[in-house]
Amino acid sequence: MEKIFEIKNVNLYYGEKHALKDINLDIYKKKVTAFIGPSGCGKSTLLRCLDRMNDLIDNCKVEGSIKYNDKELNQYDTLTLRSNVGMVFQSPNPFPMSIFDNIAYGPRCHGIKNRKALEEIVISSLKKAALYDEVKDNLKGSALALSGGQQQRLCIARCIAMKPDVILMDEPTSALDPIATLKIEELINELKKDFTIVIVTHNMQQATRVSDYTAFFMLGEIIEYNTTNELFKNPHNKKTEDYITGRFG
Amino acid sequence: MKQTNLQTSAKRLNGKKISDMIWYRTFQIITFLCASVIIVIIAFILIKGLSPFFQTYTIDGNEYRVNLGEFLIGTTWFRHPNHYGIGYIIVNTIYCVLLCLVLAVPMAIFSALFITRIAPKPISKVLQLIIELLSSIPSIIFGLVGMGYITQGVKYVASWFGVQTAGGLSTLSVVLVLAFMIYPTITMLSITAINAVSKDIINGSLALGASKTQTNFKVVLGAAKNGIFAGIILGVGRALGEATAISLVSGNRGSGPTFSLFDTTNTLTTTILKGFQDTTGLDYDIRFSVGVVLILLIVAINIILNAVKRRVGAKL
Amino acid sequence: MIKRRIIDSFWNILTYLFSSVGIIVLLLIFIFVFSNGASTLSWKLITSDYNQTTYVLSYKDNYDGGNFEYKCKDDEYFSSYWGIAFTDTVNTEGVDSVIISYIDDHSPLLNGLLGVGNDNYHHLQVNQYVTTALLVGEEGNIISCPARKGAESMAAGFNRGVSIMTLNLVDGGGGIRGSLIATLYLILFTLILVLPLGIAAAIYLSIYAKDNWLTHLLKSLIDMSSGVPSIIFGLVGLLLFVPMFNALVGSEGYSILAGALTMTIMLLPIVISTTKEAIDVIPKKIISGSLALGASQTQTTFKIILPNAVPGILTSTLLAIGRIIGESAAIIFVMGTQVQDHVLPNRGGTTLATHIYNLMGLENPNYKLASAIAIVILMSVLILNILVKLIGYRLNKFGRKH
Repeated sequence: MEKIFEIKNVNLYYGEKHALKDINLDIYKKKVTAFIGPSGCGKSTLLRCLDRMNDLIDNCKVEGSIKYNDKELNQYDTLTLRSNVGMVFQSPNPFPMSIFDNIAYGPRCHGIKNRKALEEIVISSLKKAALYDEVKDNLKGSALALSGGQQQRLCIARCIAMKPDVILMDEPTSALDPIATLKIEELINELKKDFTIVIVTHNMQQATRVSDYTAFFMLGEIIEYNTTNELFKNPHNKKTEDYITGRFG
Repeated sequence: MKQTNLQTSAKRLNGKKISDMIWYRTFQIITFLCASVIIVIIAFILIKGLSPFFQTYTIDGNEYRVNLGEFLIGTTWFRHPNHYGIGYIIVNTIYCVLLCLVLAVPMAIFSALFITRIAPKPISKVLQLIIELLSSIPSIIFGLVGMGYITQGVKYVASWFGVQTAGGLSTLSVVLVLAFMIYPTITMLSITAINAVSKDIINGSLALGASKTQTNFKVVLGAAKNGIFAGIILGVGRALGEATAISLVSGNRGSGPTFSLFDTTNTLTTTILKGFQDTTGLDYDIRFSVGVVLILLIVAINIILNAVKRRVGAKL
Repeated sequence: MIKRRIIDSFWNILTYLFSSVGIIVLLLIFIFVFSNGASTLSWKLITSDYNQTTYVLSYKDNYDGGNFEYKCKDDEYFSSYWGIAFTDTVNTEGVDSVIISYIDDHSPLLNGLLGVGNDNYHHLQVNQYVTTALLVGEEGNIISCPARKGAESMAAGFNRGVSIMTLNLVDGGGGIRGSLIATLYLILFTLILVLPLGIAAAIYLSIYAKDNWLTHLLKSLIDMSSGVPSIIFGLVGLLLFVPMFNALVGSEGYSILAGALTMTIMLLPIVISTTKEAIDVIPKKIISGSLALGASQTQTTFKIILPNAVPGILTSTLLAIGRIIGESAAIIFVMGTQVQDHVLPNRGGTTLATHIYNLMGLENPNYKLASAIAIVILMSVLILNILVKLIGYRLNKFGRKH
């Protein structure tokens, strides 16, 4: 299997605090990889390294090597990197614009002006995000008028419009109700045919439902990393077993 | 023992209730008084301001009464005899305010963007202090500097174009003074509006691969536009009501309207102010009429701008 | 990518350009005001009258001359005959003049000069300007000493003269004491009126008023008057308050009291809203606590609410003072533009701001004096702003607004 990210010996510091300790991990192409673990253990931090969103935080220092498609991350120009590695956030953050403009925003920023081209992109992204049928009559309506679950799918569509290779998802369903959560999980299963997905989740069952690989984090370290089946059926590490059996959370 | 306590209690209680009632009524009456101020203002200005149209004045043995139609459309403002026309003054006022917006609004929005999103923290704090200081400088000082520097500057620039000015007193001077005066107001409100834009949206834009500048202009300004517009409305209100500063640089034109930058001009407020020292009778009363028109203009423009604000806000 | 960077840089440069305007404007103002006014500003300026008093004096008797001695400082020229020293100086209008810089205690001129046309003896003082002097010499010749010839020639002329036909003195001039006092009076009277009224209304609206249409109406009406331009307030003051004070206090026209009333109605909205904010910030549970202990609403208001609202009240006071110092249009209409040296509440006058307006309206606008006044105003406004900020940071116990 092809590796799309190779993470070696990564240490991350927020000022004095050592947030990520000696991380070694490979992300495989067109697979869904899940990061699980208790709160505050570094999952989202590592996720944000992958599209260099941590660069926006003062006092954040990263050591070690992260390679994307065999090239070091900091050798990429951030704008190019982020058009290839997209991110969906924990609470939906649509722009205060119309649905159409939200999705067309990314392409427009990268120079696509042609009306027809934009329309095609918008419609295909909405279809891939399983939102098209619900909004097709109202593309000019405000994005803020959608429900929480619809807004999150809109953000996913917005991300897809950039035709990225990777979609990073930071607890995408934690702010949504169970039905919306289900819809998004179904979506992830569809999306992995075309995209590599890395998802941070608090919900272990979600990891078992959607991911192919799972990494278990604790206090800034990766305790165990394996295929999802293996990790949940035969955890090699006691701490992993304790976590997934609910002895601590 | 218990009975005495209850009795004194009852007395005290009554005393408290009475004083409560007295204070309540006092505060209430004062509040009604304060609220009635605006009504009194409008009523009196209206009464006095409408009198030139309904009352005849005797000047030099002749009887005059101002014709409302001529007043509203007129293009001259002379004292002797009765040639009061406010039409051109309204046009001049709106023209000056529009031009000053053209100058002040871009400056203010860019400055606000710079201070909140681009400048490093120390510079940003210093700049914000400067803007706050500017916004509390009284308008008369702007008028003073206007007369001292700006009119000279305009005179100089006019000479490049080979145009004569009345010592620099001109529309351009008025526009510049107004623009400098309302620029801090709009900037400060824009800063508040931009700071209120949620970080989530900004991160969302950056995560899509947009550059900082693109994010600033497309997303941040878009999300802040309600607050920015509110600042503009406030600035327009200030510009329309400004009197002393402009009267020092406008030149007080007797007829018009004029659209040339280097001509003298006047506004509703300077008309009220001009020659105020020794007026009587019709000339005195007519100023109140100008006051009425000024209030109506401000109300009208506020309604229009607020309607625009709602439409712009609704389009999202 | 490169195209993106170019476009971005373009917008960034525009942003930098436009932002520097703010600094440029402030610099312009400060440079103008300080360059013109700093030289004129002095303690003397602040304490002298604006209008000049001219004295025409004479010393008719022949004087044998004392042999006065005096150690001259630089630029001083001493007449040992009369015991008086002169210095060249520049008056408040920037014109070269001659000033009396020293009078010997035994000089006959100290109390011996008689006013021409009356019987008053003039007490000569240091720092009075001599515009011209005509002396009579020993042979009966007339010695003329105009100020433009300078202090040295004046001292020399005095040394040759045995009696003084006329001595023209000018005292004061170009000072702003009158305007300063009028401004302080205005602030005092306005605060006496606006603070109680504003605080009372704020208390009613925050605490007593029920949440119904009437309260909303009251709040809207009060807010509306903050959108009215100040010149309209001036007109209303002219219409209402000036005749009112004519009848009450017997002033014939403009008066500071009318000005105070006008400023009061102008400042009510801001005092009310600032105080209201301060009251609203007080946690409801503290108020409930007081009432639960059996205190009446009135007691709670005065013992708990007002003391905790003091920072807000202070802030509104400072804001009001700032507005008063800077206001010009409204005050012109109710206080006039005549600079007064003897300030009375029932007479008109100029505040610092309207004094500037007066100076600009002269045939030869007096930029120097106006700039000096502007410096005083700017410094006051700056100090007030700093105080407001300090109150905001230090005294707010219940959490900050920003």
